[in-house]
Amino acid sequence: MTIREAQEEMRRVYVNGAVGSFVSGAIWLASAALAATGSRNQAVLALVLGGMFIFPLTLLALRLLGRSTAVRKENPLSFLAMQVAFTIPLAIPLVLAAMQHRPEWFYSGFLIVGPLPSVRDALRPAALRDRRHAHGGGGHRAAQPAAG
Amino acid sequence: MLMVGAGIALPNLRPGEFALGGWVGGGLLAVLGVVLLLDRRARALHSP
Repeated sequence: MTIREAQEEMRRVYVNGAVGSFVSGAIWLASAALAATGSRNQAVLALVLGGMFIFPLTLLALRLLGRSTAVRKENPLSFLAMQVAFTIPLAIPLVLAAMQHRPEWFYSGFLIVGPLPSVRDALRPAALRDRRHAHGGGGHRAAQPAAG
Repeated sequence: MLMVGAGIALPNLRPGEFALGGWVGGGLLAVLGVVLLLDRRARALHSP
């Protein structure tokens, strides 16, 4: 399987990342609603705990839409979601510490650290590897960067 | 980059506003979802 094929399969299965983005947005909006109407702690818990379920909820949403969530075993990008899921929680203590200083830094902190380990960044080394392969006379052309 | 910029700008533009960041973040993610969805459709239209 080439990197291009792996990327195309990921885009097709996860609808270009759109469903995950909607799920994540819904969790943020629910947290904001709690912040506006309820307590600040509930809003924080909603975003931190809800954020842990973005990927399972995305899979659920895809199934409800009648789409397959299966990625082929040989796809090297199938662990990408897991890598991102384990990277973002590392920043949670930092954001919570900043929030102790100024509460409004809570959402701002996640706005800053959330997009950093994006799928695009995670795919870039793979795309470069693919390009080197192509120059070495080994087959296909460089993969396009993933959307997102 | 838009999200990172919003994260940096919001506390300076509206200090003391807690929930605003959540609305902005949720809104940006929803817009991103629409953009990704439209991008997919455009890609499908141009595929051979």
